[in-house]
Amino acid sequence: MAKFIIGAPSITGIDANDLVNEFFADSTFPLTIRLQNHLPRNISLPEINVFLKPFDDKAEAKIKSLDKLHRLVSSIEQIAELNKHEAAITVEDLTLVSASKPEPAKPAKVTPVVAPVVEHVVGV
Amino acid sequence: MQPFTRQLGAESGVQLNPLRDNSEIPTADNSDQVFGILIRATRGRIDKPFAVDRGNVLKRLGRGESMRSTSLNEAWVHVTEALNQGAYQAIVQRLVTTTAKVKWAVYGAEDGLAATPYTYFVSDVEPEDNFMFAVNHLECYNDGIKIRFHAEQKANGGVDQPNDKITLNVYDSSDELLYEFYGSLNPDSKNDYGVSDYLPDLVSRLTDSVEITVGNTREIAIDSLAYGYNNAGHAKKIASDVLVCFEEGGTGYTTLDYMAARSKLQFTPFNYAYISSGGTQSPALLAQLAQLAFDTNRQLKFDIDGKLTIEAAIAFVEQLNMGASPTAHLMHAFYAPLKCDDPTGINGKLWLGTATFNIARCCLRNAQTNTKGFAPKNFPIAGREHPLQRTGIKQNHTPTDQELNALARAKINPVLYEIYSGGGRYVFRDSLTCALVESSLKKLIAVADMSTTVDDAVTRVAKDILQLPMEIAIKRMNAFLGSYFEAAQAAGWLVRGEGDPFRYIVEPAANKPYDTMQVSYWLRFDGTVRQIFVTQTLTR
Repeated sequence: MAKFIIGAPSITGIDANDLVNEFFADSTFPLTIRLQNHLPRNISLPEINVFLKPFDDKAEAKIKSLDKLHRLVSSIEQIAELNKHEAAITVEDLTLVSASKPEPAKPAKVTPVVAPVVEHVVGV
Repeated sequence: MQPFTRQLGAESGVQLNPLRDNSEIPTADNSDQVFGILIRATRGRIDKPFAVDRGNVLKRLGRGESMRSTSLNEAWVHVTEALNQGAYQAIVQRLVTTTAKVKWAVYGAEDGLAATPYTYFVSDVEPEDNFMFAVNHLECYNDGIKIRFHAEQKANGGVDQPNDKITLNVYDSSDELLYEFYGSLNPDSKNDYGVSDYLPDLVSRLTDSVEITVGNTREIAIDSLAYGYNNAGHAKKIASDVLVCFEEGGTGYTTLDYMAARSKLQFTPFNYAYISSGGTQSPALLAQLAQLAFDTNRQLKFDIDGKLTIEAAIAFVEQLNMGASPTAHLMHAFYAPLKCDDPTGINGKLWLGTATFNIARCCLRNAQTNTKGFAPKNFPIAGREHPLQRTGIKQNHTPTDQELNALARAKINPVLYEIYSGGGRYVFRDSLTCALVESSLKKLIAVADMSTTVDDAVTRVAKDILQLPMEIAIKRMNAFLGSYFEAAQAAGWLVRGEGDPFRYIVEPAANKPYDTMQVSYWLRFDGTVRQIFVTQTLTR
């Protein structure tokens, strides 16, 4: 199970699409993700029909393809950038990973992007 | 013999100087009938923007794909509809990822060995040996191309001879002819005028959309299947099946992909006045388009998904933070909670944005200029006279007064059914920019339209007078501004407010008077009636 926070890349120094490539490149789609809003404002993501109220509102969404996930993450990243938030939205993969699946390499790479409120969870 | 010379030396004679033209009057082109857009398409070059009109939209952008496969296909519907509803041209930059790949269609030995018979195949790289020709089709058709070639029969003394000249045809996958080239396989070949007709030279002169390289074959042998005519008298050709020479590389666009496309649309030599979002729901793309609007002083019209609730629609705009932009008046948001028939017929009933339709109507309006070249831009595309021209429209939600108030405060223009004299229609109910002002001309789309037009005209003239002597440049700019603003006033763009309709100053910069000119102008544009208060009082 992958879980990470997307923030403004100018602050975090991390491209969220790299995280997608790391955690989801081998995933089977469609998959279900959970989004959690950490911003003090409503967030509207019509690409996946999700509307999040401020401060930790959560919603689940089905993502049809890796391409769509990349576009979604780019959008969230842009919202974080426009509003200059270090930790905007948590993306959590709700799909169980099979035991035989190797863990993603270099989990330490994502550490800097983690906001204090949530930890990265790689694997189950 | 002419009675003059162009350059007289010490000799006696007459020198005629080249004609001097002081009659030129600054004019505007029709770029305000053109819009720019970044879209995902199934055809179109990816290295630079290209122009599309209603006559070639299907050829240039493909036949469109269903929005069921991806909502990105909405942009194609927008472009096609807009070109048929008033837009003169669309300047299109195709969205691709970094993994997109243009390949070569080759006629040669697929394994590169001399003994292998030649066939058509697709190669990632330009071939080096053992091929006749390779075609690089830069218009990047997802559905592929077909190639055929034929060599005319060439006889000498009644005996057939090999021919170095071939006719090379490029078709799309539906056998529509795209290009026909007649050239030589011999690098030394020249036509009757002494100009090279070597196939790569000839193609490079005709188009920049196709590149051809020729291999080591110099002529078509008389026993070739492409030489001469068959028994039925038909030209013999060697034809390919569909060759898919472009790999789109998916649609997982990252911010860097959007930025790359935006940059290309910014620096294109094509001119355009409006930027369309193509119905995108992606804040990442919208942010780049907003940046493009800022960089180029062009108006961005974008859609908010009609499926959204009012609250979500407002959140969508607010999260983009467009009001914080210094050019927020260039950004115009439209929200149409309407389902309608697909004007292109590709999809069934669909949620279709209206921003590009609004641009199309702006373009149509801008084509109707007065004798001074001024279009009625003081009339925004909103209200009774500009109904949404679509079929099967069904309004999903009728906002309450409070919701309409919230939309107006969020600077969102709803597109709704309204009742007027003569009947109801679906109209652009408001014409607000995203500028976060309450009582200012900056809040009005009509003013943004006129203001950008004035800026465009003035900066264009300023560009023309660069590198002239200072006195002459100031004189010319003064003359232009005087006549231009008077004409703008006559067209109803400028009106008297607290002061004059217009004022301007052209002078050398105080701190750099030798090479810098300052041009400043103060304009009072006419406003737009958005609200009317009517009161009846009964009297005795």
